[in-house]
Amino acid sequence: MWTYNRTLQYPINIRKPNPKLAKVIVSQYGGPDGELGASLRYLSQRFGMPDDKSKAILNDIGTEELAHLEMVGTLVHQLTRNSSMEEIKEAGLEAYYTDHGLGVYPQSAGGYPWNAATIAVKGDPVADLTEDLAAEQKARATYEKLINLCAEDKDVVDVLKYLREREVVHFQRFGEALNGVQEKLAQTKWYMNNIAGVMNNNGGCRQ
Amino acid sequence: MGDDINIMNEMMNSANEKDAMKKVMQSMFAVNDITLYLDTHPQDRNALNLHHQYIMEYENAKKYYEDNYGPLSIYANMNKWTWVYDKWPWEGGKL
Amino acid sequence: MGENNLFPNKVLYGNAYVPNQRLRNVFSPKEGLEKGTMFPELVSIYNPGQSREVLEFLQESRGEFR
Repeated sequence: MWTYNRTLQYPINIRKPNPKLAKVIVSQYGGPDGELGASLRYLSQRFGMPDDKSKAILNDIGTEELAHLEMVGTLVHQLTRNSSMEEIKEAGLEAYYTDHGLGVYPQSAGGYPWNAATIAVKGDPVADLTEDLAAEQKARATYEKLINLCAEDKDVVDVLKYLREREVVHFQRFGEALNGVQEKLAQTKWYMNNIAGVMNNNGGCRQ
Repeated sequence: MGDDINIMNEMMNSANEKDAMKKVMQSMFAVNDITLYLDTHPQDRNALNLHHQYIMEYENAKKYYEDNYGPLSIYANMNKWTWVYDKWPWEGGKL
Repeated sequence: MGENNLFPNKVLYGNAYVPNQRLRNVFSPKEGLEKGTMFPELVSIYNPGQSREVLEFLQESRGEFR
């Protein structure tokens, strides 16, 4: 279960509101490679994961992603806080404002509501962990694009750099978990290449 | 004259609270990152020792903050239910 | 198991592997939080525009037959 700790994982104090930046940053809240998807993917995959280390890392990284979800939501909130109608219009946020006011809504930068189709739970340890590796790389790449877009605001870039670094670390951990699973499988009959059998029978191959 | 002292005290108190909150954040982060390492390296004794150390720093930081400034979770004792009235982390201004 | 080795002793084709990290030095909690990790070897620097530079680099370094 989860306890709420009344702190952000990393400090966020945006001095200059900037709704334009919020418009793209929201993608890491509810977009295809965002923190909501990451949390749900890992916290869902953990149920069917038979391997101890993998189960633990899914649980603990999934938990950390919820803290990141909170951070991204905080960024969007602080960047749009108290925005005037002019500022909203100038940022191209009329549609968002209509549906969500100055609230934080889980959607992609393109305006698509969060979609579970962007995550997978295959119930296969190798597939699931490999999916998680891909997910972390996509998240990292997304933060890089956001850093490129938000370069003018040092407060924002500082937070995005932190979140990007965490994805790098997560990738490392999922990789180590996958190594562990594959190491175990390499010792099993299902995964050992039956070289001797193939050589003897020739498998019907031409010389 | 009295006002200046009050303002200065407030600024110092808020600076002290910011420092106390920073210590909480830093120690929690250390526990978190060493935990992820231990999940994939459960036999690493050195890492486990680091975890012990970070837990101690966290407990100290948490106790100091909660004794002086307010609850960090609903499991903290409160004389009044400041949980409702304290600033929330997403509102900023805490650091 | 093989956490002490950079890679597992027995690697399989058709599977992805990531080099295992081995604990060396750690940052202080203060520095770790600032850097985004307690582990110096996992620090990855990124500056605005870098991803575009990387794409250009990969495009230019095509590799030639010798």
